Amino acid sequence: MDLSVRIGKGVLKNPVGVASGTFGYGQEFAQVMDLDKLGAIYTKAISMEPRRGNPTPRIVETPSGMLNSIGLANVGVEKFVTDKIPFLAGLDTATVVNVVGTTMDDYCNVIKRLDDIDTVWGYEINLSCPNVEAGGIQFGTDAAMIEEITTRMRGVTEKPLMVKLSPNVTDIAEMARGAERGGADAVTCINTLVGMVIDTARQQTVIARKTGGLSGPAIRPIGVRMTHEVSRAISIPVVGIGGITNTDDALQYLLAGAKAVQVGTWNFVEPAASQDIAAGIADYMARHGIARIDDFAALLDRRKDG
Amino acid sequence: MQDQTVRVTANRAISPDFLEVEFEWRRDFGLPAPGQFFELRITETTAPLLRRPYAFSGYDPDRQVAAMVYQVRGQSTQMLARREPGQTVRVLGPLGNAFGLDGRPEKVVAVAGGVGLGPILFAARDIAAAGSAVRVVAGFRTRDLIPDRGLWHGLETAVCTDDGSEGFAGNVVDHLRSLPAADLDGARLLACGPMPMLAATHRFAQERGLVCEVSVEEMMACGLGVCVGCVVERADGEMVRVCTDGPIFDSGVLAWT
Repeated sequence: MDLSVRIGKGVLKNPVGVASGTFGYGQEFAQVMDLDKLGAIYTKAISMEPRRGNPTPRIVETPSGMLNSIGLANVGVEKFVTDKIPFLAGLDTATVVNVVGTTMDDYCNVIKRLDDIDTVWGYEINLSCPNVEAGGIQFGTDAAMIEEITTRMRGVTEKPLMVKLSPNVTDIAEMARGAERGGADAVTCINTLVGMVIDTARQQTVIARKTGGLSGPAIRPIGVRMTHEVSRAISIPVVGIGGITNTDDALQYLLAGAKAVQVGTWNFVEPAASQDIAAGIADYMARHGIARIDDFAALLDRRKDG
Repeated sequence: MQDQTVRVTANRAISPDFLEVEFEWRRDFGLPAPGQFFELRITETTAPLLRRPYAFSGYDPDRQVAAMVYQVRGQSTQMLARREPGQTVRVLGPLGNAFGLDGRPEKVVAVAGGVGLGPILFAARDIAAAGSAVRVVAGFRTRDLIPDRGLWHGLETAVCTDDGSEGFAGNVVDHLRSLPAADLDGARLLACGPMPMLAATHRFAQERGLVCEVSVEEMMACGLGVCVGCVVERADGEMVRVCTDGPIFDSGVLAWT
């Protein structure tokens, strides 16, 4: 049985990763779990300059989910290189750097700064953060723009390049096709859905910036549906994310057509949960006679009602 | 720091407003220090989803149990109030820093508002046991909400009520102002309670040139420093995380608006 996943010129040793913004830079979780059991760590979004993020309250719980409006607070690329890379470099798991910027040049400059570092396995381009004024989702809701920015980034790296898609669009498959045309090696599906919670006693929104991104088990059916749709619209791999808490949730994404998955919000609830999912997937593959991750894709369609 | 499933050993009302829960906490989880907190998961389902952060109100190393004082406010605390001895909860901790940022002070005035009483009494007992002078000032809305006085047995404690129905009439800062100046001379203030109380205590400390350590509360998801939800602003403009840079801060470094 083979758990490995090929993305562009890279190979992940197993399909289970932890999502950007839910795992810091890895170190914080080393005390409670074995990081080497992960296929990949997708880092907190990295920008050229440090970002202090949005005003508080930044988070609020929702039914089986949460809204966040962190605003891509991060240490900036220089501090990431000096303070965070050394720890990540010592792990037996792929470091995928989530890249964000306010201009196309910003995105390219982050990649240029990191591309010579051997232990940076690849990039996940954040074109879908709903919580910032400029960049992020502005780029991610127009297929032509996605294609253009992906083309630009393809020009500065040969490493695996993933584009993280926003679900806050009419036709996510069209956005995925833009990424594929631009030369992406994979798309990540999905980022958070824009939501709002109102405090009726105070008659104001709970989140300081009014809206936030909805994540957690509440969005899992949407993530699975979009993964199903996108994986049939493009020929590059889809990395499925949204509400994964355990092996069964991850299997839904693989059966929907994903080649890899990410555990996100659940890292806040059970910080060690992600370490057992790859073994759980292997167990399921053994029981169902599935030889490799690629073989999941055809299983759903062979059922009449799939 | 550990993530464990532990048994509740006691869970009882200590006032019309407060409950105290006790639960197993083995020494090898790490010894909780006053001011530190843990993240509690009360359910095995996805609602409520997030853990909730609570400050320790005590630790007994012989029985290996930790305690926490809480108030029923929402779904999580309602569920916790129904948890009986022998039933389990998930706990992640100890998390964050502790009172006594510059080492153990010689003279302390520990100020509590509402449910902040738990960690303040934990700190006061710890400081008294080490031989420092400590005085507790505890504020409540009204007499009926004052818990069993056995809670602060052996500690010099001033009770204040907003409505004057018992003890000092006024809030905790009014009480501090009423003390002879010599009582506060060179004292370190520790404060845990609602933000307006912390802000007022900070202003008082500034007026008197005292150092004040505050325990800050903010909406929190992970407790591990990664979600960056629970930030507060420092006076120098930096955003710092309550969970890992705090929850105890020298009030002088924070931006009070």
